[in-house]
Amino acid sequence: MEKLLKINGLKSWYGLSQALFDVYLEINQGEVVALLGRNGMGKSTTIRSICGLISNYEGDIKFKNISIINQPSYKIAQLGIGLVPEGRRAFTNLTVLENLTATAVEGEWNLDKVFHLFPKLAERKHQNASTLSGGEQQMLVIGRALMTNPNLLILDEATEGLSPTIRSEIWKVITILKSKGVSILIIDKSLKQLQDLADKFYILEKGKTVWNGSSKNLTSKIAQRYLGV
Amino acid sequence: MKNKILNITNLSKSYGAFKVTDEITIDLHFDEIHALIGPNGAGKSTLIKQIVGSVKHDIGSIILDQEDITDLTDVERAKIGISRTFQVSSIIPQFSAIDNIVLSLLDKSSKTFQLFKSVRNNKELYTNAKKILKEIELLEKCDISASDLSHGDRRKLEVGLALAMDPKVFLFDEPMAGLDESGTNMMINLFKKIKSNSPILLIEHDMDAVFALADRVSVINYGKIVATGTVDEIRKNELVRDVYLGYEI
Repeated sequence: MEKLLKINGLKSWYGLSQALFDVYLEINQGEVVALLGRNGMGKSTTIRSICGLISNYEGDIKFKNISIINQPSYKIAQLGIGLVPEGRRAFTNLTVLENLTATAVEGEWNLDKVFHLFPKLAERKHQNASTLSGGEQQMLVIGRALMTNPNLLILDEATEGLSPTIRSEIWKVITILKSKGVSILIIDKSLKQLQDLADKFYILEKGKTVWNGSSKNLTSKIAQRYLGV
Repeated sequence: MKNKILNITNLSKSYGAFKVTDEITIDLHFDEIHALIGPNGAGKSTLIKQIVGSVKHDIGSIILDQEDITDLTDVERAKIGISRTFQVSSIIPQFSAIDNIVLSLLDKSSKTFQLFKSVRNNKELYTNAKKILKEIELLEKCDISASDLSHGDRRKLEVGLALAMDPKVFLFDEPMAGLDESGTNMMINLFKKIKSNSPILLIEHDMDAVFALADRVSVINYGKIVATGTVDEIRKNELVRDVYLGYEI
C-alpha cells in the first residue's frame, strides 16, 4: 500500500511548555486511522502540527513523500490535506454556497456530490452559515473540506456537540467516505464507532505515541489502561 | 412554587417570522438536575441566553427563588445567582487556569478592581481557587495559560468559573462536549455533589451522562417543549425517539 502520511519523532511546543515529545504515526492510501488518547495528551496538537498550525515544532512529517515540516498551512492544504477542526468553524459571515466554493479545488468532489451527501445543505445553500444549526454547520465544514478534494481528510471531534440522530448521520457519511477510498485521520471519543470503522489505531499519552494496532488488538485492557474506558 | 428555585413561564423569542423559543414553560426544583435535550437548532442555547438575560425575550416571565427577575439585566441576574457555562468558551486565554478562577471569585465578591492591587498576595483567594481547580481535576495545570490547555481541559475550566460564582442555579450548556470518559465521569460525580446546593439546568447531547444525572428531562423541538418526564419516560417516548434520540439509544 502506498504511504500517504508518515510522522516520526514529532515534538511540539506552546511557548515554553512542550506538548509533544515523540509522536509517530503512519497512514496508507485509503486507510482510516484513529488517533486516541485522554484529554490533553496531544491529539489536537498532533493534528495542528500536521497542518502547519503550530509555530514551534520539529521532527519528520512526510506527506506523499514530501517533507511538510515548517511549511505554511496554506501550502500543506494545497498539497491535499483537508481539515475539519474541533469546534464549529464554518465561515459564519458567508453563505453555505460561498463556504463550499471559497476554497474548492477541482476534482471528484463537487457541489453536486456534496449536496447529494448532505441534502440539508442543498436546501440551505443561499442561507448565511450563521443561521444554520450546529449539526448543519458541522456538515458544512465536512463538505467544505471535501470540496478541496483532499488526499487526506482529518476529522477532529467531528461529532462533538451534535444530537444523537445527527451524530449517527455523520458516522454514516464517514462510512460512505471510507467506502469511496478517502483516506481519513480521525479523532473522536466514540470508541465503539471507531472500532467498527478504523483500520488502525494510535494512542497518545503525555505527548508520545504509546501504542498502535488494529481494532482486533485494541482490547478492553488496552482501552482501560490508556483511555480509562 | 415553594419547591421551585426557577420558574419560567411562556418565554418566547422571535427573529422576524422565526420563533426560536415558543411559549416555553419549564421549572427547576431545589436539589434537582433538569436536563434539556433536543436537536441542534431547536432553541436550547437561546433559552439559556434568555434566562441569563443576554437575549431579551419578547414575552414571558422568569422567577428565581420567588423573585421576579424578568426585567433585570444580565449583570443583575448574575449578581443574584444565575451562573452559566458556554458552548463556546468565555475563558480569558492569556490568563493561567488559576487566574481565570480568581477573576471569577473576585467578580462574585464584586472586588474586580482588586486586580489592580496585589491580588497575588491574597492567600485566601488563591486557596479557594485551588479548591475549585481540585474539584475539576485541573490543580496540576493551575499555572498553565488557558490558551495552552487542551479543549477538554478548557471545558473543565469553564465549569470551574461557574463554580466560583457559587450561584443559586447553574445553567450548563454542553459541559461534557470534548471531554474523555474519565472527564465525563468526573463531571457526573461533581454535578451530583453540587446539585443539592445549587440545582442544575443541563443542556447536553451525551445521553449516557444525561441518563445518569437527570432527575427530569424536558425535550425541546422547534422552540417548543414537546415532552417532560423522568429518564425512563423520555427514553420510551416515541416522539422523542423520532425527533432526537433515534432508535439506537
